[in-house]
Amino acid sequence: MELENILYASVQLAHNFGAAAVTGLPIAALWLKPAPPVLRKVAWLTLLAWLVQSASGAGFGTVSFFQEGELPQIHHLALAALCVKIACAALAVTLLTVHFLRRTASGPGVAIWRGLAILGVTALTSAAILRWFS
Amino acid sequence: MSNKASIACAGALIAALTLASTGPALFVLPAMAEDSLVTILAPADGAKLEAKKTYTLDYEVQASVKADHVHLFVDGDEVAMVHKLKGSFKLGPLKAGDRKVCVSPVNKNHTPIGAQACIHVTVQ
Repeated sequence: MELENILYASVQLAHNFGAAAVTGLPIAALWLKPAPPVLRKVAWLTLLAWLVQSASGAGFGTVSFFQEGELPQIHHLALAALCVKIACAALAVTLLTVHFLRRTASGPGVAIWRGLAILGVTALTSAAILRWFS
Repeated sequence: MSNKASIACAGALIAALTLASTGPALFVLPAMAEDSLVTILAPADGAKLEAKKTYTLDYEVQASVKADHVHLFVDGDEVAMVHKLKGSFKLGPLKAGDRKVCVSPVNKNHTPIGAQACIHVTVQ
């Protein structure tokens, strides 16, 4: 039981900080309007945060499977919320990957940051639904 | 390769081998046959219920450090969740026919722990 709690808590820790980062970083970029080199670093951090979100999200299911031999029971509204979260992560990672593949010296533009902020807020909202409507 | 890099590689290899050999022991898969932690108090197994009527399903979960809440299933479809280890669900109205009603105790991550308790009812 102790190990299970430690594993869930570790995954939750990564997921919570990831959630704060995927939402907070784009909003900070839009609000504070830092210099292009800083924006680029913030974009890398945002990409890292979304990857952490994806990995830790999968981590919840992984811990359940190896500890209980079963995956979480998720249905209806909660399942829809999970799909929305996965879609947000996929879109955000795609958006940032495309930006970095262009090899521009500056950071992402306002439109990309707005998109990332919307994806972060949507994912966070879906997380609440997933938690309480499973 | 520098000495430091060689030491780091050797350390990583030893750690990987240790984890590979002891890792499975960290994860204990439950036995296939499990006792249910939950008891359905009412309605009784085999009860005859009326369609269009609403009933109360009473359940009780045995004291367990893992159990956090319960999920209610009708014919395999999750229809409700209650955050109490002893309580009741509103059951129905159900469609006519033979129905399988199950209560599944789950942990905080909504993962089933132990076997679910099920009853079969006939809805007329």
